[in-house]
Amino acid sequence: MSQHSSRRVVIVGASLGGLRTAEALRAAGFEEPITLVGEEPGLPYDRPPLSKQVLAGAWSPDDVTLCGKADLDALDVDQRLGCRATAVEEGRVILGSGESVPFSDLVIATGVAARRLPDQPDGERIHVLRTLDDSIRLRDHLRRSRSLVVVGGGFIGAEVAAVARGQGLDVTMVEVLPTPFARALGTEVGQRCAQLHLDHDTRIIVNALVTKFEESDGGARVTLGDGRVLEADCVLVGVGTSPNTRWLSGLGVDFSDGVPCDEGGRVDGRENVFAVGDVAAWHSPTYGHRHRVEHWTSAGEQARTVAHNLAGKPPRRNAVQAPYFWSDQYGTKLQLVGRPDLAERVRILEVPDKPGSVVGTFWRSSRIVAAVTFGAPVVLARYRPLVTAMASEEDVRATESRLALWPVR
Amino acid sequence: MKLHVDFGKCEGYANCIIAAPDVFSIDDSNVVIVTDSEPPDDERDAVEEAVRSCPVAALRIEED
Ligand SMILES: Cc1cc2nc3c(=O)[nH]c(=O)nc-3n(C[C@H](O)[C@H](O)[C@H](O)COP(=O)(O)OP(=O)(O)OC[C@H]3O[C@@H](n4cnc5c(N)ncnc54)[C@H](O)[C@@H]3O)c2cc1C
Ligand code: SF4
Repeated sequence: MSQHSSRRVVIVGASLGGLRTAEALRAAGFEEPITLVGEEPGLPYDRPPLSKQVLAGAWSPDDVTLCGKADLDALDVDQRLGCRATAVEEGRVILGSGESVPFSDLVIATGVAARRLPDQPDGERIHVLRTLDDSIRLRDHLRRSRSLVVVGGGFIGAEVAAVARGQGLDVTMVEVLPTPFARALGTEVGQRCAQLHLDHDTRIIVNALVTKFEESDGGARVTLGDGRVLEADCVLVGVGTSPNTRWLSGLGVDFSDGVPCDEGGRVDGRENVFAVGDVAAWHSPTYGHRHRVEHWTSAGEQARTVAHNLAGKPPRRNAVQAPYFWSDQYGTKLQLVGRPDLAERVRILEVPDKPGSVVGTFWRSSRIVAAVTFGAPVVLARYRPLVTAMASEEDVRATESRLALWPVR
Repeated sequence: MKLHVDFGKCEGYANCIIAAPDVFSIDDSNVVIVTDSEPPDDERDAVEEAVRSCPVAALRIEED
């Protein structure tokens, strides 16, 4: 390895993507110095439980660490936790303290931040959910609350709504589109997901734009475009994310939707800069374009690919080509493989012997581009290779008849 | 290759099933079932992916 004499890999972002990159570099036998810079002060932790087990109080914050102190120390990386990277200049990362850290190779793993609505106050009662601190604050507040308004029909809002209903709160979800979850799942499957919420007495208001937030000691008020006012003890805003790229302006790349990378994670036009995880928009050979994927599994797989390429092994591109995502709502596991956003049409099928379990399949021309299951992991597993291969209708039907799945009209 | 499952840790995420459907399944109470605890070598890539994709690190490969 040491034919590159003065190498130092600097990884910025010490969460799933950044930590996994460091681990995979060491596992690949990379012995040169590594610096891991992360804005959050504590040990790296895992985010999916923040809207599930941690929020419900089933897990303590200690249960979500991705890596114990001893394991982190054993990686032998220069740890800069609690340090924010503020800029990147030729061959150097600048930290908030003013210090500059030189690199031979840079890995960008700064993830995304929860988006806020215009004029959204940062008060006691109005929450977003991205970090462990956010989760604990919201958990504690839910315990003291009788009602919750969720602004935004997305997965984070859905999981928070489910946890809050589980604790007996009165929950209202507000969505600007005609169907919640449509952005991720399309209208038909989005409607199915909405039904799950309605079945659990979560109220849903659609076609509603939030125009005003107010907070007082007595509660929060959310005003909608048509003048309606919703009052609640607690409000969660889950309206998507924006990539943490502001510190990267010195690279002179267009970051309008994440960091553009090739199919091995190398940033466009930069020989020695890579990006992984939620912040990165990798080129996908399967789909023929760049796409940012905010899924747990992708961050780990991309980290492994980048570490492999950085360790000087034969170039490799990402192994997982169809993105995979799961979500837990009211005890039902929703799992998604592929790209529903590319679909032109949808078919919904019923799973035998599993009341309420359905599969949605998403089609572009006569190829399958995504599948989503509610409460049927074993079925989703059989669709995954089909979606990865963008299989034909004939091949998909052969599998479906083997699984005895029946279309729902 | 031998598979070790920590059933106390398994949270039923089912990610392992997605990665290696011929080796893992899940029971009605959402706990993983190993259908083949000594999977053949051609399942290695899939099993390694399953091990990595388990969010609670409940799976481990023991080399013979
Ligand atoms: C509540 C919640 C629930 C989720 N549930 C699921 C799920 O069920 N299934 C699923 O597949 N995915 C889920 N996800 C998504 C998954 O957690 C992400 O895909 C994953 O965290 C991405 O990891 P990352 O390392 O790319 O980014 P992040 O985890 O966002 O990490 C980025 C890190 O970089 C740090 N950082 C940012 N800017 C700087 C800077 N300038 N300098 C230094 N450090 C910086 C941040 O503080 C952060 O620690 C969920 C996410 C959230 C928030
Ligand atoms: S991925 Fe892990 S937690 Fe999930 S079912 Fe498999 S073993 Fe259990």
